Amino acid sequence: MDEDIQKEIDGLKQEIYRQKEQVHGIDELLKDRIDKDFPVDLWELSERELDNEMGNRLSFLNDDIDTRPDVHSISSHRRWLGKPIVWFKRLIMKITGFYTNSLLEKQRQFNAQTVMFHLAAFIRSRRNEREIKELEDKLKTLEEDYEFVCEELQRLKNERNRPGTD
Amino acid sequence: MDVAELKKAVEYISRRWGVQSAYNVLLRSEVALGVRKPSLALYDHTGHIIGGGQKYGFTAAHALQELFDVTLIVNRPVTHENIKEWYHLDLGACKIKIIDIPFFNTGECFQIDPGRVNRRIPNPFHIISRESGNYDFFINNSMNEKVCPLSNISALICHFPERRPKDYFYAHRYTYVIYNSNYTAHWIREKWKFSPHCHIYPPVDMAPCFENDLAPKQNIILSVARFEAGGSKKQQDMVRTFIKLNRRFPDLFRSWTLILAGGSPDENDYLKSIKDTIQKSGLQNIDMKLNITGDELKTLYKKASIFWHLCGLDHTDPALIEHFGMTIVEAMQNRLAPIVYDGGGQREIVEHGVSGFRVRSTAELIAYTLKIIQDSALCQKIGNQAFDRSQCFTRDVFEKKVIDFFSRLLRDYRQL
Repeated sequence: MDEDIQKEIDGLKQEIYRQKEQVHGIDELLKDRIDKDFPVDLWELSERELDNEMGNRLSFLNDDIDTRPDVHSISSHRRWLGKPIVWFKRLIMKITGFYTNSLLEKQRQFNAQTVMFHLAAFIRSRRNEREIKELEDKLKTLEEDYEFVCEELQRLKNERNRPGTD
Repeated sequence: MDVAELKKAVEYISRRWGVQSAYNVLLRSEVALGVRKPSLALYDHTGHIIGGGQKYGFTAAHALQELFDVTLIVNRPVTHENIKEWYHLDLGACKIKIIDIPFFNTGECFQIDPGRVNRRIPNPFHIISRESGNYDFFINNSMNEKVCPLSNISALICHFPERRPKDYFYAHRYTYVIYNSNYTAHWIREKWKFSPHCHIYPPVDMAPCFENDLAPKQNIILSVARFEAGGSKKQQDMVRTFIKLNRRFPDLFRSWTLILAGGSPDENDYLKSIKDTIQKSGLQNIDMKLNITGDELKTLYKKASIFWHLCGLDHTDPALIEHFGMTIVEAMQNRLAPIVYDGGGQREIVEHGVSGFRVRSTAELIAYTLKIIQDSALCQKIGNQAFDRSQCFTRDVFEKKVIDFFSRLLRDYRQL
């Protein structure tokens, strides 16, 4: 191939690579939304998967107990107008907070109780599972012992019935 | 070739489909014009740990290092010497690139576990996704579907679909999904709701180098499996079965030994429970070999006659059933007669009654073990047939399939 063409391609590649490095998100790199939501069919999950799912969801619920807005969540990227807009929005939040806070506090308490209740149910279910497993193991051992005793009995009976023994 | 036209096309593609797509066009043009060798990156976030899955990926890299300019991407340090020592693979032609993922550097998250990553945090694997876009081909051998491939051609090697489609799931974005067994393919269809593309069984190379390396077989029943804390490999059931056999047939089993070989951490309750069972039984012919070297393992394979593997017995969770069963093939390559659980990938290895026996319960395990032990000619015949069967899963067969598959892709890739 012509060396000049090769150089041109190389230059173009470097330029595109430089542009690529400046792009932050993968979505932007591909001009496509790469993440999508996948519905979870809980009935399809195995015991282990269900266990993980319960743990994860409970952890998310726990993170979201407090629904009260945070004044610091209000911000602006505008250069000049940003500061007065933020000040004004925070003022509105403080004024309306007088009315909404009692309602949101009740919601927070309800959320906290719900999470506690779910956690208690989760722990109880774990303990029950463990107990069932222990019982199953015990039953298995008993079955094996029973089988062994039966075999031994049979062997003793055979020995006793063998001709020549009294 | 008109460079101005190419420039225009690249600019249009960049505007329409993003700058990565434009870069990919240039990469492909270079290969098509013969400017350079095609590049391939193989990523494995567990590359620094010894394992069967890792061996799969590195053996694929070994097969492809002549066709491609191969780079191995890992997250923790690993050297060519390590790979040579662990898998007897010379990857001298491959480069190793270590990309640190800061999210997994904190004490709590030191283990690189994709399961910890959810939509509430930015995807820490995007650093790998971005890197994938610098190569013509990208292979993800990580069981980590949270890496989004950006290269022209991408392949996800799936050893088993551990997680269902959820946060940051990109398995469907790979050009090809390669699977290690039909069992895995079935669960990819069930869990991920699409069909994988290419079936390549894992490489197993445990056969003795020379025929005269074969030692006379002894009365040993061997099990080789990790002592998993949850007991999924079922060594406890094997011990109980062996105790039962000793009680029922003391004269016959006096000359037989059960050897359980496998890796285990120091603190392991499951291992402790097995030791308790052995101690209570009072039997002297059950032996445990923990964390032994590869050479010691080879010696055990050479001496043993029968191989037991019950992974999956009494389990309903598909992830806990053997996805393939490399140790079974290792045993078969050493002419052991395998008796394995009838489920998972084990069904694809052992042909019941020909190259071994498949059982569904410990009662069946007892029956088939007795059958083999009481008929030494049958034991030898099954061992020989098992050896023949094991030749379907050798490194040569694996490397040939890998080269065939990627050569085909490369041929198409070279045509603009």
